[in-house]
Amino acid sequence: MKYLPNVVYTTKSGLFVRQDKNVGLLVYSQYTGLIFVVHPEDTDNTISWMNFENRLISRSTIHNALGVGWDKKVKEGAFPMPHYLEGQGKWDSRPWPKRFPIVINWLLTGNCPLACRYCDAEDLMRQKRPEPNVEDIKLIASRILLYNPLVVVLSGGEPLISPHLEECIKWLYKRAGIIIDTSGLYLNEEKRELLKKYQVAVRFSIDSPIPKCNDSLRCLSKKRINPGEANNSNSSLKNAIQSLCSSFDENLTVSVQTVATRKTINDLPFFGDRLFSLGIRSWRIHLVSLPKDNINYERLFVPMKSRKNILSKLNRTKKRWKGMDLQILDDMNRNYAVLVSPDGEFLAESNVGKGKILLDSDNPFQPDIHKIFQSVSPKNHAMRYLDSPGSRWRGG
Amino acid sequence: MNTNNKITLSKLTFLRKPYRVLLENELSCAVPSEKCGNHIVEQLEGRYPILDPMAGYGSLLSLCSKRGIPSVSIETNVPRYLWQLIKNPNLSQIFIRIIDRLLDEENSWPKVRRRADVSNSWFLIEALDIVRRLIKSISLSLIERDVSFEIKPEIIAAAVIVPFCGRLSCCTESENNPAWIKKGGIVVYMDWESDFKKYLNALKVHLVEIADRSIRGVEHKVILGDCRKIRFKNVRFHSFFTSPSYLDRLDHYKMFGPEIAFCNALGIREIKPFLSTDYIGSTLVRRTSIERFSSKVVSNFLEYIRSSCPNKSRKNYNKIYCSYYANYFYSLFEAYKNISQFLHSDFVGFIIAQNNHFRNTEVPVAQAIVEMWKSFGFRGRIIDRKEIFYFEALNLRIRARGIKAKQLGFIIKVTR
Ligand SMILES: C[S@@+](CC[C@H](N)C(=O)[O-])C[C@H]1O[C@@H](n2cnc3c(N)ncnc32)[C@H](O)[C@@H]1O
Ligand code: SF4
Repeated sequence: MKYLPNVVYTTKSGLFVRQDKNVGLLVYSQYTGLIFVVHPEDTDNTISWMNFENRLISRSTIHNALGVGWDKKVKEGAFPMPHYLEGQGKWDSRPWPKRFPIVINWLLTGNCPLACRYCDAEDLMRQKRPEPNVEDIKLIASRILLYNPLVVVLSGGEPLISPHLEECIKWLYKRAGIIIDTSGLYLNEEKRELLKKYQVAVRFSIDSPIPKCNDSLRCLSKKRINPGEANNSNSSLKNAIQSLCSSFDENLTVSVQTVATRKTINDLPFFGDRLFSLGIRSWRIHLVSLPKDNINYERLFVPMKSRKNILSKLNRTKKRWKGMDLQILDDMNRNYAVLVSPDGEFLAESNVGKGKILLDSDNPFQPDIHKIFQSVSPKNHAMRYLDSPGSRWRGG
Repeated sequence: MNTNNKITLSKLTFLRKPYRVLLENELSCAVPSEKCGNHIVEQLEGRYPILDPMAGYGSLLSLCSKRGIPSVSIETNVPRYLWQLIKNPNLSQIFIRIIDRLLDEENSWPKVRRRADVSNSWFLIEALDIVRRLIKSISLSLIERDVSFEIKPEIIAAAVIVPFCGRLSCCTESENNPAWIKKGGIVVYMDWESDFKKYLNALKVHLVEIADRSIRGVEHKVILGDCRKIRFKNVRFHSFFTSPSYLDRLDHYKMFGPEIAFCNALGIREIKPFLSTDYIGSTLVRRTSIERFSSKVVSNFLEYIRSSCPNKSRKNYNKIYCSYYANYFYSLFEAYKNISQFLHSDFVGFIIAQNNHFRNTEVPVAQAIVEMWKSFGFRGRIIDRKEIFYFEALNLRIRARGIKAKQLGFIIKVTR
């Protein structure tokens, strides 16, 4: 089967692919929520395998990473870091797709039951932007899809409390991989069924295994609106873990992301043990990124020395987490993501601490593709999803 | 040291570190080496039973059981006391039978539906329920077999289950420092059974080894009690071989947070844990005990701490360090003073003490001990002094750094 370059297709195995001249084949697996690159020389073979045209894939790195969920058990997965599935003829240097966003982050709503101390979306939240109606949602979705992102991350605010969640997911379904970022608070049975039906991968935000630490960073907002919470503990950790367990029980794709702060960084190895034994096989750690003028900067920012320390410790301890994809994102540069605000503007985080900036001021709702990567660094963008800057610390 | 059957328990079994270390290393001992320990025990020939009033994880019991020498061990920390029961060769066969039976009945182990849960306390009801039910089934099986022990069946059962109970607790541990454990965390119920099986198998290997290498038919008494308060009627000891709690400013009581909480929850009167302040070397200091006895060695040391303290933190410094050390020395004084009343006139005792370092100065533990015994009218002297790598409870401390790694080890001989 021949696929046009830069267009997203779903294969029979369910995996999403997009050919890229510069890189090879980009693949998103909804069974793991991870994105990989297949070397050009393996591309045709891999596509036929994913379409059940040939039963066997010769390269085990590809089988281990991409076969999970349909050709292999989850526990048998193995994920190389960076996410480049190299063949014999390796890339000279790791290339990245030049023009097209791999991922678009859609902030579905500005409402959120939590008020995390470090939240970098706060400037688009809580009535600072108009909330979209159903028509807006359809329009924004179709605009996003014009860029052919391999994956759309539904974020916010808390995407689960958007009244248009189902509508939005239906629009994106099969046209792009869907990941939802959530605190887990509103993940009730009905929502889990929805996510399961449309193969949405769920990524829980949890920062610490200690309730007091987690809850003081990711604190429940006092003025929150309550459209039927799934869990009603006053601990955000307890809510998240309970939702995570129920999601596992119902076979959803589950992963965890953690914002590492000065307060919590030392507990990460132990946290990893717990997550691993719970069955988590994909864990992203973001070292907190905060502008210097943030009131919590001093309290949360992780000093350089402890960064090195903990990264090398994690690289040691991850040996016990066999088959877990551990991505440590230590981005000093903030201009890696394409963001879409609740009211449909395409934005990026400024790299010089100016908050969010419009990607194309002439066309805020449908920026010119060339302009996107004037504000978003293609390299940082690719690194974010394919590489792990933290992996540079491997081996100390 | 026989390490043929050595079992390694992965961190991912979530068995608490102190117990992983105890199971993996056969000898856990305040003695510099087994050779040195044997050498001392030989000098106490005929003065049996040998007493250890601060018996820790049961190092004297180990030495004595191998050589067929009767011993009496006193320990105040319940989890450590229970571990000594495991080490008592006279109980090995009973423990092995308990384990075999537990493994046979795997299918009837309590089930939990949840994968995991979160709590701010040490245990959630579900977790307590599992461990309680295990204890109950063990004690019932002991009663059924109609064996009568000196020790209650529930306590025997607790000795098997307590080392595992941390696996089901909501705690958060540090990667390196085993004494650092925090109340509150995530408990993963999923697959607890397989970890329990691993634990039971490791424990069985340990017990078989103890049974094999011990000489039978010799009495080893293990007493849960505070050596500062214990009384012996009509008993006078002819010897002791002991070592004071290690002064590392780590709280060896808090280290057993989940286990102690669990013992409390069990509600068995005989093994109700003492208050943490009753533990010698506790970092929780009783105000009243400070500066209540006169010792030249100790006052000089405390004076040094006070004077070496940076000005701005003087208040804290005095509060934390001076009180801590004063409290420690005073507790030792109380303990030895009490024990000294129960020693026979032909008594000979050995104490192994380590002087570690604080702020570039040696903490004069050994010298203070000698002074104490003299004040009770005994003869005390340091008979040997060498640099040793100290390993009370083996690697249980933070990986020692620099100067701390090398300890000055002293052997003190006490006689009438
Ligand atoms: C803004 S939230 C929106 C989705 C959802 N409310 C949640 O918390 O998962 C998306 C993710 O960004 C992370 N995040 C927020 N502020 C951050 C910061 N300053 N640095 C790094 N990550 C941050 C959150 O922890 C969360 O995992
Ligand atoms: S839950 Fe997410 S969106 Fe809400 S405050 Fe926290 S990080 Fe921000």
